[in-house]
Formats: sequence, C-alpha cells, structure tokens
Amino acid sequence: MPSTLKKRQTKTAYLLLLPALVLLAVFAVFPLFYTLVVSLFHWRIRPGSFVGLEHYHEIFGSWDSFIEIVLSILLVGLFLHLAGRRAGALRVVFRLLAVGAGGLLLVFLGQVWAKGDAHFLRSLEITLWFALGTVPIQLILGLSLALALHARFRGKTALRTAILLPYILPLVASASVFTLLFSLSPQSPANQVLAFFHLGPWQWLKQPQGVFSADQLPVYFSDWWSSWTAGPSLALLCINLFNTWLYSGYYALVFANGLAAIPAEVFEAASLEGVSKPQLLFRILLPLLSPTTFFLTILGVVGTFKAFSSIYVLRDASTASAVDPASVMIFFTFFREVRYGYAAALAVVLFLIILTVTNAQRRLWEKRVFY
Amino acid sequence: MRSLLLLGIVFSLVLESCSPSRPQGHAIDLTFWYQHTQSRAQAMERLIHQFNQTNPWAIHVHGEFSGNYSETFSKMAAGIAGGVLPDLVVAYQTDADVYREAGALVNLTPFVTGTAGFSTQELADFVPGFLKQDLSRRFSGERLGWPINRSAEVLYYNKDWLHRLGLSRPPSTWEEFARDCRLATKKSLGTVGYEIRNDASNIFAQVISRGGSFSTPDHRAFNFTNPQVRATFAFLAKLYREGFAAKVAEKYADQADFANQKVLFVMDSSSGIPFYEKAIKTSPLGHFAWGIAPLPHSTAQPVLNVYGASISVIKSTPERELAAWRFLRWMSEPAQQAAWVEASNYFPVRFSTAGQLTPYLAAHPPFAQAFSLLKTCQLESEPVLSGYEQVRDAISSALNAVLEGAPVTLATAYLQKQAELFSGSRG
Amino acid sequence: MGEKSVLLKTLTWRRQPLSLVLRWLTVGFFALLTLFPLIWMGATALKSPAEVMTRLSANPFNPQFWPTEPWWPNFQVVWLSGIGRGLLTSVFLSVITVSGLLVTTIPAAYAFARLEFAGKNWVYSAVIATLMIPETVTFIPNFLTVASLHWVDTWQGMTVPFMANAFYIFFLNQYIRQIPQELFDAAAIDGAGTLRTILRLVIPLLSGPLATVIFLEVLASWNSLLWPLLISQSAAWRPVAIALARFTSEEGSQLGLRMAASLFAILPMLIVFLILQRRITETLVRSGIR
Repeated sequence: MPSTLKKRQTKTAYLLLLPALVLLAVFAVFPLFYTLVVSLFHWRIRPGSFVGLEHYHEIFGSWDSFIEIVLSILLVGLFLHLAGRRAGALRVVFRLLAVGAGGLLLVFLGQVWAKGDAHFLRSLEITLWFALGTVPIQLILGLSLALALHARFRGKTALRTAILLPYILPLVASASVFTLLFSLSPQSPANQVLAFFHLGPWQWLKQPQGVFSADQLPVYFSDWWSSWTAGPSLALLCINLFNTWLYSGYYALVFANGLAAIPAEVFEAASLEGVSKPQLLFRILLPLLSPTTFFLTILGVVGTFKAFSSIYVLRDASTASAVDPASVMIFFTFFREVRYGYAAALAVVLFLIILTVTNAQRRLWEKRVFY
Repeated sequence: MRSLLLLGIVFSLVLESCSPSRPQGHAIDLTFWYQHTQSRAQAMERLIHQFNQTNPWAIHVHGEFSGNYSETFSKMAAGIAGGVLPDLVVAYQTDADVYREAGALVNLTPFVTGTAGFSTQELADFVPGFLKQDLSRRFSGERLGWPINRSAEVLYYNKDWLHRLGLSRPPSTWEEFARDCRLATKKSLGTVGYEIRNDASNIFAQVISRGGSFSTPDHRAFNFTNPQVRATFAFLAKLYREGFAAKVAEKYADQADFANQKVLFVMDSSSGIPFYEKAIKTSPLGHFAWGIAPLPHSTAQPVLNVYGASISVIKSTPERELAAWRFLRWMSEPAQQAAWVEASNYFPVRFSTAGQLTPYLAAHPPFAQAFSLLKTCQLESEPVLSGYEQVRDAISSALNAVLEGAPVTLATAYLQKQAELFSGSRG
Repeated sequence: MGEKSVLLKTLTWRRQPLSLVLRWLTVGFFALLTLFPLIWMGATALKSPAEVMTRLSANPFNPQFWPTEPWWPNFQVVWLSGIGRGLLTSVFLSVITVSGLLVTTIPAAYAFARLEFAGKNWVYSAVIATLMIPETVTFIPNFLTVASLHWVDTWQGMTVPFMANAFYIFFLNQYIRQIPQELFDAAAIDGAGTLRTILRLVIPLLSGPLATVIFLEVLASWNSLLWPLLISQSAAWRPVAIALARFTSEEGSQLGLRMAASLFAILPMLIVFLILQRRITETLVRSGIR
C-alpha cells in the first residue's frame, strides 16, 4: 500500500475510532489502571498506605513460585510452538515436553496452594471446570440448533423464539425454576428421572463432594492434588447445566449470523458436485464458520472467567466453597471484605490469566481460521 | 469527514446539556436508603410522610429503595468513594463498622444522651439486648446505629401434633428435641421431626443455647473449635443420618412443609410468623394449633439469638445529623413503633409498645408468644467481626460437610482456618 | 428473494423427511426445555401468596403445579406499583444506549476491518483487551468518573458507560471483513466518501449482525441491575429491573408478584425479538450483493 494512501487512511481511521476509543478509554482502560494503582495500596473503601507488590506476594506466597509459574507457562508455550514447526518423532517429543512442563506448572501451583492464596487457586480450578463444562457443549448445541433452524419450515419463528427464551427471561425467574427442578427433595423432577433408573435421590445443587471423590469429603476439604482427582462437585455441574441452557440459544443466534453470511454459491457448488451431508458440514461449513466459532470460543472462555450473575443466582451458602469461581471470589473480596487493594491485585492477576489464555487460543486457532 | 466531526460534537453537547438539580423547598431535606419492599416499604413511606407532616423542625425525609442488604452495601461503598451519600441508611452492625472505618458514620451516643435524646427513664424502656448491639467494639463503644426493630431465631412447633404424640409442651432440652423428632418421623407418611435450615444465624442460635459462641470470650476473634459448636454439628449430623431430620429442600420449603404438617419443628426468624400464619390458613390439610418457643437449651435460662439491621446516620453537617437523629428518635416512640410492628411483624425495641399493641397481640397469638420471649430469655447476638459475612458461608459449608459424613473436628478446624483468614482488617 | 439459498433447498423436508424429524427432535426438545420456565412463571404468577408456598410441585402434570384458581391481584398490584413507568424508562434508556453504541461501534468496526493505518494492531489488541477486564473492578472507578461528571441520577450516567463495547466491535468486524472488496471498489469509483460508504453500503449489508447487536444490547440494558442501582438516587431514572427487584422480599411469599412483574418485563423483549428476528438470519447475499 502506498504510504500517502496509508497516511490518509490513518487520519480517517482514527476519526472513525475516536468516539469508541474515548469511551473505552474512560470506562474500561481507566478502571484498569485505577485497579492497578489500587492493588499497590492498603485500601479499604478509602486509600491507606502504599504497600507496593505485597498483595501480589500474598497471592503467590513467594516470588520464587511466581517466577516458576511464569517460566513453566512459557515453557509449555515454547514446546507447543516448536511441536507445531516440526514433524514426525520430534513433534511427539516436543509435545511430551509440553505435557511435562504442564505437570511442572501443577507442582508449582501446589506451592502456591501451600503458601499463597489457596482460596483464589481453588476458585481458578472451579473456573476451569466451569469452562470445560460449558464452552464445548454450548458450541456444539449452538451449532446444531443454528443448522436445524437454517431452513424454511412451519413454526420456525416460534421455535427460534423459544430457543432464545432462556436468554431473555430474567435470571432470577429462571434460577427459581432451576432450583425447583434440581431440588434435593426426592419428588423433584431431577430425582424422579433418577428414580426411573432406580438411582438417587441426589442432592444436586447442595452436593459439595467431587463427582470422582473417593472419600465422601466435600471438595473444599481436600488438598491440592486430591482436589484435582476429585473433580468438580455435582453442585457445580448443575450450575454448568444451567449456564449451557441459558446461553446455547445465544450461541445459536451468533452461529445463525455466520451461516447467513455464507454465500449461496458455496451451497450451489456443493450440491452440483454431490457432496454428502457430513462432508458438507465438516469439509465446507465448519471451515467457513471458523471465524464465528473462533469468536464464540474466545468469547465463551472470556465469559466463563467473568461469569457472575448466572452463578450467583444459584449458589447456596452450603455449597458456596465448591462452586464459587474466580469472578465470584473476587466480587466477595471486593464487596464483602472490602479489601479493595487485595481484590484489585486478584483482578489484575485474573486479567493477565485471561489475556494469556485467549492469546494461546488465538495462536492455536490462527492456522485454522479461514477468512 | 466534516459531518462525522459534527456528529461527534452534537453527541457530546447532548450529553452535557442535562445537569442535575434538586428542589430546595424545605428547611432540611434528608435522604434515607432502606431495603424494604412491598407492604413494609409502604408502611415505612406512610410513617415518613407522617413525620414530614407533623415534625416542628421543617425536616423533610425522603425515603429511597436502595436494593437488598448487599446491594445497599455496594451502593454505600461506591457512594463513599464518589461522595454521593444519603443521610440515613439501613445497616447491619458489620456494615456499619466498615462505613465507620471509612469515616462516613456519626457516633450517635451524644445524640442519645443529649437534649434531643432520651431520659434515663425512657432508655430503661428499651430492650437492653437490642440497644447494646449497635455499640461498636471495634470503635471503642461508639454507637454506630439505632435500632427501630429486631427479630429473633425461634422454634416453630405444631401443638396439635405434639398432643397426638402424647407431649404436653415443646421440648426444652436438645435431648427432648431429639426424642420428639424420633416420635414424629414416620417414613410411611413422609413426615420428619425437623428440617435443618443451614444458615449461620440458625446455627449460632443452637450454639448459644448450649452456652457456646462463635467468638472468644473477649469477642475480639472467632472461635469455632469450642465444644458447643462441635456438639451442635454432631447433634444435627446424628439426627440427620438417623433420618429424624432432613435438609430444607429449597428456599421456604420448610414453611410449606410445616403448614402441610410434614414436619413437626422448624426454626426460623420471628419475622416470618405472618408467612407461616398465611400458609397454615390455606393449607389443604386444614388449620392446626401451633406455637412459638425458644430453642431447646442446656443453659439454665433459654437464650435467644436476636438480630436485625439498624439505621446509621451519615456524617454531614451538625444540623443535618441532628435532623436525622430526630427522625430516628421519632421512629422509636411507642406510637410509631406500634404502627411499624403491625405492618412489618418485627419486634418493637421498646417494652411499652406492648401497651399500644394489645389488640394486635390478642389477634396474633404466635407473635405475642414470640414477643413475650424477650422478657424471659437471655438475649445474645452474633459476632460483629470483620469478615463475618464471608464466614457465614463457610459455616453453612462446614455443616453441610458434616451432614454428609465429614468428621466434626475436621469441619470445625476448616471453619476456624477460614474464619482466621477472613477476619482482621487486611487491606 | 428470487434465489433461495441452495442450502435451504437441500434441507427441504420433501426431499429429506429424516432431516425434518431430526430437526424437530433437536429443536423441539430444546424448545420444550426453554418453554417450561415460562409456563412455570405463568402458573406461579397466578398463585395467591399462600399457594406460592404450599403448592410447590415442579411437575406440570401434578395439579400442585397449578393454582387452584387464577389469582389476578398479583398483576393488579404489579401494575399499580407503577411498573409502567419503569418500563417506559427502560425503553428510553435502551434506545439511547443502543443509538450511542451503534454510532461508536459501526465506524470503529469499519476502520478495523477495512482501513490500513499506523498502530492498527496495537489499538485493536488494546480494544480487545478491554473485553477481559472483570466487571467487579470497574464499578467503583466508573462510579467515580460518573460522579465527577455530575452524572449521578441522570440518564447520561445510566447510558454513556455502555455506549462503547469491544465485543460488538469485534463481532461486526468479522462480518465487514467478509464483504467482497469489489463492492468497496465500486463505491469508491462512484465517489462515495467513508461516511457514505458506511451508510449506504456497510449498514444495509450488515442488517443481520446489526439486528443481533441491537437485540443483545437492548437486552443487556434491560436486565442490568447493579449499575442502575448505583446511579439512580431518586425515582427519576429507575429502570424496570429495579422495579422488579422491589418485588423480592426476605420472606419469599412475594414470588407470585415477582413472576407477574417478570412477565410484564419480558413482554417488550419478546416483541423486540420478534421484530428483529427476521433480519437476524437474513443473508448477505439476499440483501443485494449481486
């Protein structure tokens, strides 16, 4: 591109961006910097003394573990990167090395568990279970619904509206319904389904034990390693289900947008060449939808890190420690404990984690996204 | 491009055009943030209106719904930072400590004892256990709030059912309670003795009924490893695992089950009495006689866990602070107290209110029973230590774990660790 | 509408009865799951306060799921409480928010999708990074900003902070990128400036995604509670979400009222969706690329 043209475009571009950038700077970037500053102070509603990086030290327990964690994350990234560039045996070796570095990361996190903020680490673990339990299912369900609706048939409008209903209904209303459906009472619909298979009754939203837990202890009693083998609690799985139910319609909506943007020629060509349905889906539609899928994956992962209301409405005090993800934990540090300084430091760390994860996702996807 | 700029300018002009202005028709305008909804909000508005019409100081109070307790707290936290505050705000004692720490609250002691305050004789009319709750331990006994109402954790029992079981009175010890639960539990009929409402206030009520507490004797730190906490946990776990007690299935299911005679005992706040009344009145199984009693106890005298949010006065000018106090003082007079009690079913804070409540008490025997407990029981209140809001969740989690089979000592140790983590004024 | 997309044709039921069955199974099952709460809300809204607590079944085939007879006072009380005013306020606030949002978002998305400029990658990354900031920490600083602008208890305070959102910029960017370059070349040959290109070319082509953006933002503005609660200090700018919150109580027998109020509150959203939903899945092709 000629430099004069680029120069002219630069001016136009910034003029176009101005309103958005000003507002984002004021209402998103300024809060971030404010948070950064607050995190360096003893700050309970009102600013107190300057404490430097003390809050961050408290989170990690020691600077050594902080450095170790960062290094092991970098190692995982490096090995994955190298594995992507090599072929054959070397690729396998690098992949194994990446797994090893991941194991090392777990060990280092175990140190944070012992000396740092175990509470925060637990909430991150819950966030991970939450993300794994919602994003992939929402993607598959959303795509299936969008495909099913991408045609002309009687009752389509009604069905489409019905599918988006969970997203439209006030959260408190749908949460009330959900607590009834998954109540621990043997007469609850969920337990009646179990009874049909001669199982249960289960306690659903009030069951704090990990689903793979060997002992019958709730997940918040277990230590670092057994917390991983115990898996998520049934209460958390119920919340996952609730979130999937809430947002699948939304994913379907965005997928519908993506499908609508695929030019008709593509389908014409496919039908002329006699492409089979699965081929149409896997060879043609999925690659063409990759920007949408990419967008939704990023959004879904960022969303799980930030999810708040959809968890808050279902959390019960008696299982709180088994279902509170990082966002809820930080909210309470902020608005219940009023440890503004510390909550700010936690938020900054969470922000960095989200940034790292989405960046990794972007790199993984880059080769596969087709524009 | 020019049109784009123009658009931007118009946009920002539109945004700038509106600036807030408040009418200043009265000598002193006060804002009062409260959490009440529905009938309680209407009653509160009626009282505020009455005050505005009748007070001789041209004070005009403006009531404002500020969300539930935690939303009100968020609103205050933002308001303190941004300098946008009311003059009066509903606040639990732990919340008041936080506001005071940020320098936003007035110590009300000078107002109480001052010329616009109460005489010693009048003060003797207040329920002593209520008044002392708002004296902040953390801020050397400053009075950070004024109570206009309170509630207590009480035992609801089905009188007719007890009679059918051959029992003449509600249990007064935990052993009797367990025995009665056993008698009432019939698998075939789907009945159970007691439904456990896993809530910190309820657990505290049970712990103090055994002479224990959640804190050290000097009330400065949490203590969950005492024998009374352990006994409470073990007692409930045993009852639950033997099948004589069940968990409350979902919110308010205990009210419904009590009304439908599925459960003999529940424990709940006294402010819930009218809701039980309504539920029982419309139950398909028909009306039955029921009553309110203090929780069973192993102490000599029954102990009552009394709780409730007070109203705090925000620091402003001496004139406004005095006006705010005058409103609180007016709300504490027996006539207003009686009106508020009848609408809200909270306890009044003054004994002499009973005189104005005679017809109401006669028409609502369970409330009358509950009210009489204030004179016969020892009154205790939950710890006012920072972090208690967080610890409350941990208490519920710990009890839930014990009910599911975790060893009691493991649970109390966990609880103690959590409490120590959350307490203290860390930054 | 001359040429139906071939996908539509290949999936028509006459040729593919199996796919129709599958489609109805997938969508129908999901729709049933989603309709259930609505039915439950309706049944609860028609229960008297006492019935709300005594008739607790969650099974529609159990008579305990339904009220003995419809209890209309719930709707009456909700309406008399002035929820109408909250609804109007919410309509006003969401119209303002969405208008502002479109004014900032469309040009920004266009700039990122179509223009080459110095610092583009940096600015884009920074904009996307704002998506990752946890909301919890933005409340207080944003409240400080709004307070210092004297926007507390004004409609500006309620709307302006939400007039820019990286999410929508990201979203629209994807679709503007997919518009064929030839169309922009043609517009340039016709002598259209940037603004005209956006108004005449981009906006008509993006009617689907834009309808989605409008719908999502109206919904977000409609349902947000904590921020309006922080900003409103009087009845002046109280949206319907706060009016709804006033129907909760610590004791719970107000559930019937609450559900009646919720039904009032979702009605406008259903209407908005029914109006927009045709646009949402309209293809780029049909709206005139060819």
